[in-house]
Amino acid sequence: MRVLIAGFLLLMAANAAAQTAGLTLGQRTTFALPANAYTTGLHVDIPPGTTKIKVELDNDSGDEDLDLFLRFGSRFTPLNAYGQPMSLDELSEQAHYYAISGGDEEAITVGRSNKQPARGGRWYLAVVSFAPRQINARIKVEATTEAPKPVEFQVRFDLPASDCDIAPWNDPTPVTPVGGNPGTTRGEQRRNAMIESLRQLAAGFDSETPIIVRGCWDNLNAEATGATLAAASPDNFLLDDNTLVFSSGGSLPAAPYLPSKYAFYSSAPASRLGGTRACALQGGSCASVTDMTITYNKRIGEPGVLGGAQYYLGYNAVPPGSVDFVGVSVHELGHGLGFISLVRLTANNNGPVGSLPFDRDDIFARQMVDNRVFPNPQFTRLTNAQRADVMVGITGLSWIDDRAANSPQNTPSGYPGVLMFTPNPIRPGSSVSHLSEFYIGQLMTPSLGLARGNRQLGLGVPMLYAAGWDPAPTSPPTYAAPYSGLWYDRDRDGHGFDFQRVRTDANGYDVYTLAFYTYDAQGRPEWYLALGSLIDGVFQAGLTAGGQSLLRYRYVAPGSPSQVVADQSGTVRLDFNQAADSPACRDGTSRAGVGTLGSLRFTLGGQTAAWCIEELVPRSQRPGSDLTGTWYAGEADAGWGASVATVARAGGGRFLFKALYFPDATNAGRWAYGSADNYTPGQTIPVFERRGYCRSCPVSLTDTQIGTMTVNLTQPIQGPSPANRVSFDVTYTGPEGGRFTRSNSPYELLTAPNQ
Amino acid sequence: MKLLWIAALGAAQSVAAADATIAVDTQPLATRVDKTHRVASIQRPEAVHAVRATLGSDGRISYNCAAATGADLRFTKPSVQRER
Repeated sequence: MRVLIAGFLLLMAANAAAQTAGLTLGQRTTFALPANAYTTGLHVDIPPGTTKIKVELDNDSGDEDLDLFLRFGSRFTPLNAYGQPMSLDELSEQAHYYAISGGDEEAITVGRSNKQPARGGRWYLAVVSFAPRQINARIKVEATTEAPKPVEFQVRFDLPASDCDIAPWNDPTPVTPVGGNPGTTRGEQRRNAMIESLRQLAAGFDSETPIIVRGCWDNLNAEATGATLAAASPDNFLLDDNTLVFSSGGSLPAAPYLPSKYAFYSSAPASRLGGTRACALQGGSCASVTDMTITYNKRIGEPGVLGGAQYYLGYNAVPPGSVDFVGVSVHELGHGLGFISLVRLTANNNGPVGSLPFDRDDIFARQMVDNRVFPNPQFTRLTNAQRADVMVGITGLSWIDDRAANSPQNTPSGYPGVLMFTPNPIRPGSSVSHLSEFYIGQLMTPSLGLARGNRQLGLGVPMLYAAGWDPAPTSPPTYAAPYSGLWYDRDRDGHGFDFQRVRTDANGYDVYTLAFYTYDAQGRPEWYLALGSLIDGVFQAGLTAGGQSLLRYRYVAPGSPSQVVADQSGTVRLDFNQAADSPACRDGTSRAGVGTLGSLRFTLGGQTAAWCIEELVPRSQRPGSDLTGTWYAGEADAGWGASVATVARAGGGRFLFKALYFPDATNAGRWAYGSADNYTPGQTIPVFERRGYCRSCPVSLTDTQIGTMTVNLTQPIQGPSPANRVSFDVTYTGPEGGRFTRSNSPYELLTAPNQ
Repeated sequence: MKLLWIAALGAAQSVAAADATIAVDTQPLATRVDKTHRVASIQRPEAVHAVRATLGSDGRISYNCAAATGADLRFTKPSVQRER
């Protein structure tokens, strides 16, 4: 525990010493960054009424990789809780926006409808340099009151690949201008027609960041009476979910710019919401990263295909016998903007029909409900089988988001909201990701409704507002504010967490400790400890120099610092925001009436798990004189202590629970517990050792009394108090054995009082 | 004298328009920082949507959405990560 205190001191020192330097709006500012270094020491004051903030970063050497991080209201911490340099993940977690491409230039533009909207106040910046030598970074911040910018599409006609022929874009065959398309070569007309498609697609959308579209041609399916015209999709999907861990052990960095957690967003709206290019959200080179790709069939126009029908490249109505290039493009690119669900329509090795990729929602599917059941259950909360069933329900699936449901474009169907396309049997490529055929003339129906010459998304526009395209100004987000106290996962009875606020640091962040009381593979009690700040509702456990944040300690001796056992330590992350939507909290367990939830991910012994935790004692049940907190004997006798919780009882009494942590004979950390139903100071209570079950094992709990403790707690304060005393005599029963005793020891709160 | 003042004013304006230079607190990157950025997104090529045209006996063309199959699957990109 003394190591813990040292961590606090380092944190305080780091935060107290550092000040941030102010940037002048509109003026490019240069500052030196040593080789492989970063700064969190920049801020800029944005005037009230600002609706757009643009930050641009480059450097004087022109070819060095810099990254940019931006947050509102409070600064980035210069070092983590253990005084270690901030990792990229830690900076990404603290940021509200970031741009981390592999290039030498980064830019972030925040508008009025981003999650953290542009507004007056102090914004803080951090810059990371990967240059192997000192460079001069140059940064410029502009603030304006401009109106939102209509979305701008940048088309890449120049990214060839084995499945992307770009030659048709440059076909030199002379042609006559047609239907408003002024091109004089076939290649030019094709390019013009695609740009016209994007112009039609843009109606109703804004974005401060350009959306990048890749245009390709390929030999797609082509027969005499049927042919694929074009295919498209988002190039990537982004997700704000740190609990998703891949078989490689990797996980995704935070995506704090996405309004909804635990749901995939298509790349284009993610770029809009993130205020920067796709490559700057994903990392890596920007040379060929695009938001979406559309591929046209090179074989259209061949004599034996579709009767020789050609793409019509004019902007006006399509003559009979030709293929509507613009209409088809707008529809397909609408899918690229995010009009698409990832729910599996066909079974494959990764899951059955109705399953979700990685067991995660997509933001499109989240807007739908099963309208056959009342109250209408959310589509993504159904079981795989239930989803598979409603997907063939013909009229059972409704899009209920108000922006589309109440739109004048929505023709009443007699069903809630907007009906989605759910034919029986499922039509891969069509089901769920289209409007019902009821909406004749709408472009996003499976048959496109092109007969009426409609080439705009229509009802698809307000639907896409719910998938990351809403132009309405946003209000600043509020983040979860959890209570200090004991937490547990009701699926893992017997394991628990003591999450306690210690203090508020110089930056205004609350510093917390997290103790994890659990069992090893043999069911022996063990505990781990983490230390970090609660920032925007996320407990950001600091990483040690070894990259660990959930630490196992070994007791040394009274007055000597406990030592971290690195090879038994791991990592932890705890996020209280939108935790009810996390896969851990959607595991089928009823959590009716629960208060604040937390999504907790930990890795120990190479095993990663995500648990859904809740308060063991809600704030409403705490007594007026609340002894809840982590107690210890002070620096002179550190290395043992207890997590205490008290609960109000009728008649003014208090129930007291105490988890005592102490070393066994090998100095490994163990724990035991005791409780008093009607606690009175000075009371002697039995102490039980609990043999439990490993973190991935079936529930199994056995209690054995191993001693007693006399608890005399009267004043929940940090610092010595003659009134607080504890005595105990316990003997760990495992093969390691070990008697541990104290008599009338001083006792004080290690953590902040919960009054 | 007036010319001198104008010259001085011009110089001052030039200075104001030039870059500002400041000193900032810096920290060395942790040695564990991987210079190659981690891929932060998931590619899902199965999501490709396609439009098919059908030629009717009357010579009219109708449109319908379909999954991209057959040759269209060449659109598939290598997956960088697998589901666990």
